[in-house]
Amino acid sequence: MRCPAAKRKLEGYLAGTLDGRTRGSLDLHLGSCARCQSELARAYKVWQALESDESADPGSGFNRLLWAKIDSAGTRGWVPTLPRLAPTVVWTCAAAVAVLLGGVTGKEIGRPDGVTAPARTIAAEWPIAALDRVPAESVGGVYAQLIADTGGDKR
Amino acid sequence: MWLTPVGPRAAPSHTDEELMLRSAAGDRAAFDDLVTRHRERVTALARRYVRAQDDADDVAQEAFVRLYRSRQRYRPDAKFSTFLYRIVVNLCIELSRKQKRRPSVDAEEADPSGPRSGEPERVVLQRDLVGRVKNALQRLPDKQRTAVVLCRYEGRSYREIAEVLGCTEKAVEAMLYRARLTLSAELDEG
Repeated sequence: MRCPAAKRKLEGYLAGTLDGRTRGSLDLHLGSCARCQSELARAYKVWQALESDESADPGSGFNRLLWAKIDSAGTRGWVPTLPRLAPTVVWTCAAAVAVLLGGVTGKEIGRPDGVTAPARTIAAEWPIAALDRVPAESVGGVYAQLIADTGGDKR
Repeated sequence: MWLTPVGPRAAPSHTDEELMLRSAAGDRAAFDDLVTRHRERVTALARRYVRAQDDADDVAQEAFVRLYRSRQRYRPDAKFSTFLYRIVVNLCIELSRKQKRRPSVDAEEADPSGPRSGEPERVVLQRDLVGRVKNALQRLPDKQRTAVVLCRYEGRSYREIAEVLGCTEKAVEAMLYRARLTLSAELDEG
């Protein structure tokens, strides 16, 4: 093992977490390298400075508080998700209203009396009486006859 | 009104992985046992990472809440402690980043005050040194700090630390090396 690799394994060496082979190789290197020995001494000083504090078990109160949090989050159910769903719901309703309005008003605009717009235009521009002057065999004549027979382009 | 889980407790011989699988199947007592087993370690880890005790305790609680919520997704191919540590570490890093964005509120800086009554000077110097190194630990980049905490306080191997952090063992070696250089600079200033 060489110095760069050895220096990077010193924390694992101090923690005792290196595998046997690596530890053996590092031991061998440290035995003959003064520089890495010095590096180990520094690492050990840092190690000691990060001394372990006594940690106390938080106790069964920790569990009680935890279950209270878990269970209260569970009973809220839909409540937390409503804010997320709101935009979708709003847009869906708006779209539905728009479709409904479009259908109703479109119908009203298009055929207030059941007569299509083109037919109304034709009727306005071509009073029925005027259609009498159109040759019977012409397309216009056929159309005029049709209008006279059916009473208009009503559907 | 919360309910404490009642029912047959898991035998001590049950592994963490077995308890977690039982929790996923709806066994609240199994999850309670898991919490009892690991609450001290999780709390200690959070306190070493996040110096403010209240924040650390909140992190520990939230870690178990998230563990509970993710119990269905747990797969026993990964070591349970790695799974749990990953949750704790991510929460600590999240909190650390939020705190950096807010105006800093110093939490438990080392007390550089003079000797306590009757204390030898060397003890005072040592205490001051320890405080400065621990403060320097708090200022390390998140991943370096995590690697140091898991190595020094949890005794995790480079491989386990790499699994928690989602990086290679070589990267963990480099993080610990750089952290040592920074922390040992505090020794030189002393």
